[in-house]
Amino acid sequence: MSEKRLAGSTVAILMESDFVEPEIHYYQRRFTEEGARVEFLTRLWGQESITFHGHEYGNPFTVSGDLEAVDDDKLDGYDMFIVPSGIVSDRLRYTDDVNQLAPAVQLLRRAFERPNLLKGIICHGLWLAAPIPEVVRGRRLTCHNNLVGDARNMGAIYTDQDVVVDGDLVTGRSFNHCHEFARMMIDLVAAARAPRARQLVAAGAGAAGATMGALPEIAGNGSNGHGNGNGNGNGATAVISGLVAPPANGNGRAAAALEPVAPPRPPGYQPDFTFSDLVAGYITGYDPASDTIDLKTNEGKAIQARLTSTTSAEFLRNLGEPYVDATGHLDELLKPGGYLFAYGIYYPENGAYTFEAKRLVFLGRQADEYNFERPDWWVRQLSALAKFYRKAQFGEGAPIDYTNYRTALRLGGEKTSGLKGVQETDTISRLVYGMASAYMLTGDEDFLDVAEQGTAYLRDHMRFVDRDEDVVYWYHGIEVRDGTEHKLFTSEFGDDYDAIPMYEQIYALAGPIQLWRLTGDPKILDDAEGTLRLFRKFYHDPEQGGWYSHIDPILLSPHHESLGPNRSRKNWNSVGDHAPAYLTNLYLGTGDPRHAEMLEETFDLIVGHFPQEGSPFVQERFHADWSADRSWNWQQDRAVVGHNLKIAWNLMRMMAVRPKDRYRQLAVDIGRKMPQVGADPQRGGWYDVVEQHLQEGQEVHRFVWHDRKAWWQQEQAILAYQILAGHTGDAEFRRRARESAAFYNSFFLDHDEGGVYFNVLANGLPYLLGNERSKGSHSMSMYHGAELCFLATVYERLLLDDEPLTLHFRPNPDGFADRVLRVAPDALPPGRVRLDWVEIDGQPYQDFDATALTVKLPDSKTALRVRAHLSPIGN
Amino acid sequence: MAFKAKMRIEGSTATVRLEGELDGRSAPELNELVVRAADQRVERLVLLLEDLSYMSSAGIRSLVFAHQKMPEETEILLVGTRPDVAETIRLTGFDRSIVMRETLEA
Repeated sequence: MSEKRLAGSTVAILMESDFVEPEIHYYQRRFTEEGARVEFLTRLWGQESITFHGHEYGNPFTVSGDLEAVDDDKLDGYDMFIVPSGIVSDRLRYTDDVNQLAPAVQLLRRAFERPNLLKGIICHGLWLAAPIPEVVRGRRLTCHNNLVGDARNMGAIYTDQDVVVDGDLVTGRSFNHCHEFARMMIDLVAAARAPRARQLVAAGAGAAGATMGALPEIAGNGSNGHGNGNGNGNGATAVISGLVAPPANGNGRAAAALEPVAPPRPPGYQPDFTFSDLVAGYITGYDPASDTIDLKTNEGKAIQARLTSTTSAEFLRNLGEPYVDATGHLDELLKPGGYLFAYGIYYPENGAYTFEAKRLVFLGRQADEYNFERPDWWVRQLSALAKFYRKAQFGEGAPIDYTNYRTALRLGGEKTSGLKGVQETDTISRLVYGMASAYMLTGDEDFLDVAEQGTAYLRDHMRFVDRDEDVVYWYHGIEVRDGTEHKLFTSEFGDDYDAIPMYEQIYALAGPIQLWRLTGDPKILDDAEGTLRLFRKFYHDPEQGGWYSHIDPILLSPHHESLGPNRSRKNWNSVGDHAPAYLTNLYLGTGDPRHAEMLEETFDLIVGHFPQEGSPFVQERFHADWSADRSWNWQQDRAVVGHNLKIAWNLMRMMAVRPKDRYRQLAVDIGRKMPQVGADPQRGGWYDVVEQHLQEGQEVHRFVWHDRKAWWQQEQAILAYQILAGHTGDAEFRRRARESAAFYNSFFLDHDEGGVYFNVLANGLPYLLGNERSKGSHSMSMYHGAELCFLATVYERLLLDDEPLTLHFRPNPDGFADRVLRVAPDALPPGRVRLDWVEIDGQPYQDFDATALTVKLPDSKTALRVRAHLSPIGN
Repeated sequence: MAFKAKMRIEGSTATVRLEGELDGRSAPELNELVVRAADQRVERLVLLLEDLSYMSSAGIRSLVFAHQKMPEETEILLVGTRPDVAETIRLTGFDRSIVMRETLEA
């Protein structure tokens, strides 16, 4: 016997003749079994009740619930609203006055006006929504196969699954799936009811502003007085009383709701089987006699590892470096203070675990040595990445031909076969970013060629110059086949379907602007200015500040109804991603105060609206008026760990442009809080997406889909903690930067195929299924991996290690209108770095400003080769 | 000059004759026609532009968007495009996805 998860809730189900008997009888029993009250509603035509007959067997079923008598209070009291299969919906949409919506349709529309009420539509039930297509337009759903065309005509995104969830709407394919459909509805309502107690606890304790998402508010919204989950379930809870708090009696229910209660805790169950796992830690002791290593994890927990006769050890190696064995040197290497990763097996025995290590990774040869802090580590890694993508896209040493470019790359860099393929604007732009960055650090002109030709290709194939509005925008991409191209105007990604998302326009600039810093090509700047005008004219909200996340493709409006859940919304990407993607670099290259102002607007909005009471994470999605949007698609009330770190990193960059105390405060605050909620204390590394809020009884923020670790979020952590340490000198930040870089370099580099892995499991093993196996997707390409190498070099050398850095530039003859080359590789704190010497075409050159980090270029008929040597100014 | 658009669907070809100025206000009208053609899953969309004196970016956007929604083998043919209009189209890069001809027979 299980707990009654819907105790005290009410399920409304529409009814008419020609219902499907097994389905209706199933709901009647299944929801009741979970403790819900099931209410059948129909149009009674002035009668007390009507007896309908089923579609298959003609079974009678009497209904007395009047759908025309459902007022707002009554509707608010429902937890679920179901439109079932059969001919029910067709009968209910009958209207005697063709200019009026049928009463059942009106009721359905009112149900859709309540995001806290879970709607369920199954099979032919979708017919009932036909007169009010706006309730499903732009939303994912499923329905009977016969209605697929109807669904599309209604503007819905038909999804070929048995059950589909889209926010507050659950749909099912046919009555044959009524059990899966019902289970999904039950799970969602039960999950949403869980926070009720907690919300009331908060209210009772006088804490303001309960911050629950739309669905979790379902339970809290009710004026119907249902219990907190323990209430009606006395019998059920009694059975497992050993595991939970004693069952509440009638009075206790209210008490439990108002007082903070200790979370129920199962007795300490520990796995009693062997399992393998990873430990990251500092060596505190080593006993050769017993082959035992004592370790202290990142969070200071003691762990003992045994060595076995088959334990192997290796040194951390970079991309392109051979395996270096360390097994024969353990005595010298296992010195206190050294940091290592131990992968091994846990044996449950003698009331505890024995952990036997099978593979050790040493980060360096001595306690304080980290291979990734060698001055050339990240530069070599960037060069290896650039060569990997060069070879994958165009062949090794072959001519660079972007007609052969493909967004989709397999694990080893191969393209999927066939002439047909997609070229996405943003993956080309990201490749350009990586190649331009690789040129800046290495001076390898092949990389520069790839970047220049990619930028020209974007201009020729992906650009839409709008003469009427005097703006530029970028196609999502093109599909190429037999030499012809099919423009993909609006996004092809589910989050952004049929819209022009700000995110894609922002990233279209990432590569070209990084290249522009090298060449000064005026064509790039013209396009960037045109795109910025697009942002100002169509995405910007002049009244309430910030930028909308999507505009529609015809009228370019952020408020068009076709945008569905993306209508009139703002999010982290549309507000904040300007800075890392292109705007900081554009400002560095131009010194134009307009760009500093836009950066300032961005960061003022972030510190003003993103931090929230009651969660350690920032809020990432908003309505136009900056109220939090906690119901959007997959994000709901969830946090992306890497976005928090990205905000900390970029706030610190901004400290070098227009510093403000509140920028630093928020960055430091995030830097202090994130390890407890976003990092893995045992194995190192950073997690992906977690729930913003703890539910009652929880001590750990729940993972939304999995506990894997994505490469780009490791990048955000490394850069955030490096720059925090560089600005503040704080040793804890330095340690976090090292621990993050240690995990990334130990587990994300693909030594077999080249490039970096998209995702690894919590224990560091690569996760190689589906999209996460690819090396070229819109997020992979050559962006985050390259950005990390580029900026980690800058921060490590100039801000942390007091090492110089030589950069390469290639100004065009018509590059940089004022003939001033700005060589600062990133926003660096004033007074920390000087320009030591400059060389042009191999000759020493004197006309430069050592503190402003600028070079006054000579006039020239050919492109110049400029080398600029930067040195940290000693403390 | 007022915008006029007339569509004829014969077999798998939709032919739309456009007259006057296709600006931001009239673009939704063209959009509707093209969406209708897309719904009929035509294989060929012919736009007769001899009498179209102006085409706004909004007009091109509705064409590009409709093209994205059509099966990828759908051909779009622009007939009698005036030089000005052709230049507007070229600036949007859409010329790479369509065929432009002087006359329908060519």
